[in-house]
Amino acid sequence: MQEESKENRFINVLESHKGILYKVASSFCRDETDRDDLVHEIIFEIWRSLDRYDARTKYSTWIYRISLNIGMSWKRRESRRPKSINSADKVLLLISDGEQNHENDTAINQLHEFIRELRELDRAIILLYLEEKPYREIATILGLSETNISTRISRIKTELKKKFQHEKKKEYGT
Amino acid sequence: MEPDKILEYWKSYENRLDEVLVLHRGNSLDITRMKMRSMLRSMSPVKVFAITVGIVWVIVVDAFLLAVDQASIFFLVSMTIQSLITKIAIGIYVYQLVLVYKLDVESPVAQTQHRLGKLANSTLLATRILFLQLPLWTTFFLNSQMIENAGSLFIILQSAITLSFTIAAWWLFKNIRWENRNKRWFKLFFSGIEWIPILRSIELSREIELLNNGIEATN
Repeated sequence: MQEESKENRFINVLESHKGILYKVASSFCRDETDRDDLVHEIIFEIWRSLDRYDARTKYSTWIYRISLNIGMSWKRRESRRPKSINSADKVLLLISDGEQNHENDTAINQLHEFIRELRELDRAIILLYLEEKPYREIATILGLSETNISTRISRIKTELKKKFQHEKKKEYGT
Repeated sequence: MEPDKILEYWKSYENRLDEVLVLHRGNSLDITRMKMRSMLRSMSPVKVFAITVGIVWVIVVDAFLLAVDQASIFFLVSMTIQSLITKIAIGIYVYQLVLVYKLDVESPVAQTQHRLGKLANSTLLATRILFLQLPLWTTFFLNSQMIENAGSLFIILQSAITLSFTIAAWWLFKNIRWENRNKRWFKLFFSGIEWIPILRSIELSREIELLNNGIEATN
């Protein structure tokens, strides 16, 4: 009975926070297969850690921590990571067919690309900033001071601005 | 995309994602079961191989040292120290594997990544310790009779080789540090794909240390 309720709880947590998993994985992986692999690793750690979850922490904070920690470690291992076996058909997150705003897709893809070029910690910070998390919450998730977060965000935004401007110049051939 | 509008674009992306992202509930639990089985596979194969070979080697050497009746003092001392050095390195590697398995990924990101960086640094420590055995490989084959009957040229050459290896071993022990990662000799030793995640991990750990000390790391 207890095992069953853990399963239900696990699925409910995933359902409520699937967006976090997808967005973190997209920030670390360009390739769809890699993204699926990373999502698998994250949900495995969520499953392993679920019994230790402390209700004093918000689920979103807890999942962000796990996802970002796994994402960062996973990214470092990408040069020697074995290909996943038997999980190719076990896709967890799907994008259902629907009307797509192509202009926004290009812009978002570009933003994802720039985010992927950032250093690991900066990637985590900007992702949480884009999620409109208050600096205090970002500091709690990452374990850094609010001052550090604020300084870093300012620097990352400057870096992203330069990248966009450079991209614009390339587009217009100037 | 206008840089000032990235929050706006991200919000619209998020809203669309909420509408179209679907969780495959059936696969969620299957994936956790498969991952449990593949955990061993995900451990560094080189590290597991090194530990296995190291353990076999130590067992063979220790068994031989215990069984042998008469052996040169050079052999006994050299191989005893070599066995001890190997055991220390194996101990570090096993400790790492246990710590990685038990790593708390729910902790704040900086804390977890810092711990991983320290673990990665201990891999460098194990390597430094292993290099200390270099001079032993120039002495284990010697015996008293060989030295008594050898000419002065042999003794001079042997001493020079052992001394050189001792200096090299000590120098490597002192200088195999992350701070020297951009030196040519360091890249020569540590350019394999196994070393990339280790060095990246240490780099991130140092970045976090600097941040926590109020110093912004520069690229």
